Amino acid sequence: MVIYLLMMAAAFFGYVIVWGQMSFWGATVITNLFGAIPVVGDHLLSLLWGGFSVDNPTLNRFFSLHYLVPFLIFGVVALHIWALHVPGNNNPTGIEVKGPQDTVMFHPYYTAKDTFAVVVFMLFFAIFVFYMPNALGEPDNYIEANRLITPPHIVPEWYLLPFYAILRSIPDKLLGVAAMGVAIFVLFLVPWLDTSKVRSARFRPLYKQFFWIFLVDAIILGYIGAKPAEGMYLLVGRLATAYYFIHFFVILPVLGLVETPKPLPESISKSVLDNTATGKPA
Amino acid sequence: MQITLYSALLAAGLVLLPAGASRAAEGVDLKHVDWSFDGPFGKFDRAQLKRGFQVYREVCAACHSIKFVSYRNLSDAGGPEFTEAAVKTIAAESNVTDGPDADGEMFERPAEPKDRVVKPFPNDNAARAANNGAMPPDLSLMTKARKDGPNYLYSVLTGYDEAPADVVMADGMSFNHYFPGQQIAMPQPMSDEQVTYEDGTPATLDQMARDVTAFLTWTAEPKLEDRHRLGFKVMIFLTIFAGLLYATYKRVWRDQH
Repeated sequence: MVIYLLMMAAAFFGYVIVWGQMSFWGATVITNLFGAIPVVGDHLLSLLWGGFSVDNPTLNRFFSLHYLVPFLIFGVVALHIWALHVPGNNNPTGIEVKGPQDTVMFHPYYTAKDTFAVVVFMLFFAIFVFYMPNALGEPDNYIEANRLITPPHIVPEWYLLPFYAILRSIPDKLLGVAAMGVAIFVLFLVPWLDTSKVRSARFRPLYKQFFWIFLVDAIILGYIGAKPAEGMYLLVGRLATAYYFIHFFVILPVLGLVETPKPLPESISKSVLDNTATGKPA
Repeated sequence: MQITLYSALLAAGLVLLPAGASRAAEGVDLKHVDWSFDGPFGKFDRAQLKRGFQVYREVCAACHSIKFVSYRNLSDAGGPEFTEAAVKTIAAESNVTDGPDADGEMFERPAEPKDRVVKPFPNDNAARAANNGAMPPDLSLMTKARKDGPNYLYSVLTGYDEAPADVVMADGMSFNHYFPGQQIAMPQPMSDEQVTYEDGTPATLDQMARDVTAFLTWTAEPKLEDRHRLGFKVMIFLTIFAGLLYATYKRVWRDQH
């Protein structure tokens, strides 16, 4: 979660240091979010900008931050590994490990499996790198930053679009920023919001459906984020934003109370072996 | 394998996305040309790039700069590939200000291959003053700075027309079907037979628009051919490597379950 947040920050700083039109105006939009904070907002803003608007000092700062944040990510990754080794990890069945027959060694089993997955991803990634490097970018970023010309539509890169849509669908600056912040930080609260005793969606038929609805909702938000905030797009964006929060604050707690989960298998190894026997993939 | 399937579907979806995006701001469908550099094996046509450079130099360069391109780039592999001697001759036709010399004076000298392509105007204000207040944009990255750039550029260059009776034109503006707002400050830049190609290709407006678009696509993507070539090797390597890893994964996990 913290890794995700830092990753978003690093990606944003990296996008700004290209210093094209979209970088400059994206930086203007995002840094201005801090201006919405009551009392300290303005001071925070001039600290971030190194002046009174986005300018060369801002660029310098973002260069250093872009270099610094990966080290922070590295630190958090270390914590992540600690968490993996000390409290242990969950698994697709969501039940406690009951003995050595339930586990396998990380190496060679997971190194072999994950390396394969990584290379499959690289294959997918390489298509973009070599054959369509501009497919996901905005043409406007090939125009040099110009403070006197605002692009007709300011849009962030695709991976930030859902949050951008949430920000825009609320007509008040402070509330909009707060909503966007909550949209990210709510993920921290999920362990307390989720009232279900069952730790895996595999045995929760209702939750499974809501999960897919939520995914579709996030994709809709992403699409809306790329479109101008007007007419139908605005309405759909607001509904999708509302649903985003309903999912976390209403559906997640209520579902845990009303849903009847499917029976849990006795242990991990048993569930896996049963599946293999009936020919299903584990 | 489920994850692989999903990512393949996702990739397919993303690949299909830009297809719908090739419209100008007004929702006018752009003209579509089959460019030699399209597709995963696309390459530039050297003769076309040379012709395109000639069009740039004799027509566009009157107002538009290509400030990110140096003369020496014209002889780079994957570009128009002029000979180095030809590049020297081309460069020497313009003057650049250099200095200060030992006396502290700036002086003029003929441009050399190391210099950036000389701009038509000393600064933006001079450019505006000479062009009715409109700033002729730099063209180095133009095909990347517009949606579906090459087709857009070709469409604009060939999209001039008489203004329809119901459109009121501002002073000094020209009507263009593909330019956002349909009023463009640049008068029709090219007409048939405006340049004489050395290789004898008939210099129709359509041909010149194609050639200069190809040239400007090269200035925006000078490493396009390298990228495509390397990409092909990488894809083959990764595919084989993924196959081997899948076999390894299956073998390692064989005794579990």
